[in-house]
Parts: sequence; C-alpha cells; structure tokens
Amino acid sequence: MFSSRRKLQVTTPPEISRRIFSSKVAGLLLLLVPLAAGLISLAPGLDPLSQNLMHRLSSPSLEHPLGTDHLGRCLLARIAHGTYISMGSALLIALCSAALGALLGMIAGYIRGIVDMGIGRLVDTTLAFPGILLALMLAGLTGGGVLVLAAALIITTWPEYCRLARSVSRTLSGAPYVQAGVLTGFTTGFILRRYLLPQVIRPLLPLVSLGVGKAILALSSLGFLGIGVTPPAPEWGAMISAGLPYLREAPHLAMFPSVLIFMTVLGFILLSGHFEKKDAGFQHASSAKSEHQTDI
Amino acid sequence: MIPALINRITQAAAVILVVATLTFAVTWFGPGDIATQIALARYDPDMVTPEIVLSIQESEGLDRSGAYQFAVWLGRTATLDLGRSLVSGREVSAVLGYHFQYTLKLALTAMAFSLVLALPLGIASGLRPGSKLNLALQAVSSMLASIPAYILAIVLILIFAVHLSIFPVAGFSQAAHIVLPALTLGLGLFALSNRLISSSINMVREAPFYLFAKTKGLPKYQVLLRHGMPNAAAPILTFLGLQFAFLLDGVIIVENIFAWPGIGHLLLESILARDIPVIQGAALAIGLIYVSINAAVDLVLLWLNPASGYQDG
Repeated sequence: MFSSRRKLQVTTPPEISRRIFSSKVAGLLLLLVPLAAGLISLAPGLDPLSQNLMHRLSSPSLEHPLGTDHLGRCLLARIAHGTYISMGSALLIALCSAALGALLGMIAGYIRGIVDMGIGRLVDTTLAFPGILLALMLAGLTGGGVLVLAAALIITTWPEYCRLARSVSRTLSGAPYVQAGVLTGFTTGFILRRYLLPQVIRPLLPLVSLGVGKAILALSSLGFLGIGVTPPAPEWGAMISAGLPYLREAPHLAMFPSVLIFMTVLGFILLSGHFEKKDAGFQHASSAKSEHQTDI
Repeated sequence: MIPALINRITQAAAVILVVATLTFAVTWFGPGDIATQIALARYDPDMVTPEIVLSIQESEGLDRSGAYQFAVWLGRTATLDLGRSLVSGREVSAVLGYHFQYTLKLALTAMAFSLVLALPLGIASGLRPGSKLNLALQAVSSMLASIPAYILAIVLILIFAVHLSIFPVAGFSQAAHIVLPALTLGLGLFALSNRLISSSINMVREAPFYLFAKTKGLPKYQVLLRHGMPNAAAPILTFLGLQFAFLLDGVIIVENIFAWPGIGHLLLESILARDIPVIQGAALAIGLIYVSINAAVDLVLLWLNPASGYQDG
C-alpha cells in the first residue's frame, strides 16, 4: 500500500499522545492482560465447563471474580481457558503463515527464474481469493474445529509474508557478503538459512504482529457466527454471542470477552507499529516494505 | 498494456476456476450423503426409503465418478444453470439475484458513510500533520481496527436501537433498517480510509508543485482543489476499489448479525441447512465478485500508471 510514515516522522515532533498510542510499552501492557488470563487458566479449581444452575448470571463476586454465565459457569475460567483457543491459535496461524510465506518468498527471491514466476502466480491467485469464504465453507461444511479454520486462514494469509520476504531476499542476493558465501561454496539451503533468514525476519515482524491481531478478529468473528468451535468450548467470540440474550440483566457476559478481544488486538497492532518504527531505521528492504505498510 | 491486460484477465479466469473447483470439492466431499439430503428435502422424512435414495442417486448422476460429476456441474454452471435449492425448491440463480441486490445496497451505503466521514477528516488531518486532529484520528483508527465488526455492531445496537430507539435493529422492510449495518461496516472502512487519505494529502502537500501553487498566491481552497486533490486521487481511488473487496469479508459477518438478507446471510443459512446447490451458488458469486473487483482495480491502476505493468516487483 501507500505510506508516508517515514516522512511523517520527520515532520512530527515527538508528542506525548503519540507516544501513548504507538509505543511498545502500551502494546506490551495491553498484551499482559491476555497473558495473565492464560496463566490464570493454569490455576487449580478453575473449570470452564462445570455448571452450577443455582448460580447462573451472577454478578462478579469473590468466588467468581468475573461472575457466571447463563449456565452458572465461572466466566473467569472460561475467558482464561479461551485464551488458548482465541489467542493461541491466532499466534499459531500467524507464525505458520509467516514461516510458509518466508520460506517460499526467500526461495523465489534468491533462486529467481521459473521458480520465482511459479511462486508469483501462486501468490497472485491466493491473494485474489476471499479468505473468510474458504474458512466459512471448510469449517461450516466439514464441521471441523479450530484446526480446520486455522488451516483455511493459513492458506489464505501467507502471500503477504511471501511478497515481503521475496523482495528482501531478492535485494540481498546481490549483496557482497551473500556473494562471498556463494563463492565459498555453501549450499543454497545454507545461504538461505544463515545469510538471508536473519535479515528477512526483522522486516517480517510488524506483519506477523498485525497478522496475529487479524487472526484473532477472524477466528472470533467466525466463532461468533457459530462456526469453528463446538459449543461448550470457551472461545471468546462464541462467548460473546452466548451472552447477547442476557445483555440487559447480565451485561458482563458479553462485555468481558469483548474487552479482552479489543485489548489483545489493539496490543498486537501497537506492537506492530513499534516493530515498524524500529525497522524504519533499518535500511534493508525499506523500499520493499513501503507497499506493505498499512497506516494503522 | 495489452499483454498485461490479457495476463490479468487470464489470471482472473484461473482464480474463478480454482474457486469453482474448491466450491465443488468442499461441498461434494463434505460429510453426509447428498442423495439422502436431496431425498429428505423432496419428500417427507418418514417416506424416505433406501429405494428412493437409490433412484435419486441414479437420476442425479451421483453414482458416477467424481470427475464426471464435476465436469457436468462445471458445464451447467458455465451456462448459469445453478440448479434448485434443496430447501425452497427455487432456482438458485433467482435466489442469488434477489439477495445480491441487498448486499450491493449495503456495500454502497457503507461506502458512502465511510467517505462522508473519511474525506473531510482525512484531508483536514493530512494538511496538518502532528495536529491534535491527526493524532486523535490516528488513535480512533487504531481502536476501530481493534474492534471486531460484531462487537461494534452490538455497541451501535445498544446506543442507537436500545437506548435512543432511533434506528431499528434487524430486518429489511424499511429504509431505516440499513443504517446500523451500514454504519458498522462504514466505520470499519473509515478506520482504514481516513489514514490513507490523510497520508496521500500529506505527500502532495510537501510536493514542490504544491508549494509553488501556494507561493504564487492562489487562495487556499484553489490550491487544494486544483493542485492537491487531483494528485492525491490516484492512491485513494485504488484503495476505494480494494475496499470493496474488503467489504465483502465484512459483509458476510455484518449481514448475519443484523439478519440483512444479502449473499453472506444466504451463504451461512445454506451452510447450516446443508443446501448444497445454494452454497455452491453463493460461494461462486462471492468469489466472482471478489475476483472481478480485484482485476478491475488492477486494470484501473495500469491505466493510471502504465509503468506499473512492467514493474518487476
């Protein structure tokens, strides 16, 4: 895409609000919350599935810090265990997708020729495919769980990483130190792994962080529609849709997971902005990057 | 220009073929016996016997090989014969046409909402980098981008339908019904487009020709309208096209929250009902729209900047 981030940095004086909204600290602070939720799930006695119909829809109390849902299940336990499904699989999706994209991109950029063309076609075709459609159909029809969703999302999101990795490794393949490696007689695999991969990872970081956020949004949206996870499993999106009928008497049912999704995604977006800024001082691939930056 | 054009159109055709193949594969190899489902849709559940299922299998060609069935299906689809819905018995193409107009209406209204907000705000903030407005918009955009459409929808419903009772929640009979779903989608678009408009304007603002227009004493509005806007327009227009593709993803979610009878709603309903011909039709339609928008945007880009077709990038 189109971005003038580097220019903006020159003309904008460092301002307090800017620091608040795009610093590493804010992003990390926000991410502490889902992290804490993940840790809480390890606490003994927190069962996301045990029902207690006598205590349904109760407000937050000492026994249940976030209250209980319509079946009397502890909301804290459900949200905490939901971290694995909602954030854990999003991390997995972004990492797998980035790994796949980086691998193909590095190969395409380094080897060039017909391999590059073939991978390029694959990228174009995949980019032209609506991701959520594939996820919806695969998961909806096969009745498969989160793993099917994850596979569908990985299949449709790797090209972004691939494009970036390709242009970085294409630029670098002519660099003297890489040429030196080639002349020394190292194999292509070794050069890709030891010479190119370390350089490719850094510019990929903002994309990966953003990708985690996007995956959380996609997974929870599908969960909200009832696709992907089967009911008793505590997925954040599904929990929100389960809480909707009780919006008046027990707003906390929908509110807590919503807030958690918001904080987590915002955290990853801010973190991505931080990586991007850090990368801006980094000369390699800055020209290649500009078309991938989004301004958020 | 011409080779690039042919190239792009061939690619679009290839993607459509892939979409069609996937659509067929997913529905055909999914769980459940199709003949039984057709039988259950056509007859009373109590009346369905193995003989009926067998006869359907024969008459629909379901006992033939997968490749044969795929060829037949592809041939029928190419002539726009998408079959009939297993549930309602209506022609799939007619059903799609009916639902498509709602999706189109929703997408256009959402786009209009987002532009009404993003154009003035984006231009104003692009002209003043580092201003309070710019920072505020940046913050609002990050937040809007972190809120999934369905949570935004709930918040809007709570504010406008429950507390203020201005707009109705779900339905499609009156014009007012479109407001909340379109606003949900529009705000999501706004988050992206106001940043883009702002940075395009900011780029132009720093260009020498813009400074010259200012220095020679043109009134501010003329500098902006005659020299600023036309030059900032190209990336903005491209992005608008791409937004339609982005909208399609959002439409699937938003339509289902507000029970808006568009293609996305149709797709989910038919998936839940295992109405295979409708699933295939809706998925194909969505894929087709997506691919055509992408191809159209690329071609417009190529037309605006012929060099982009030769770029090795």
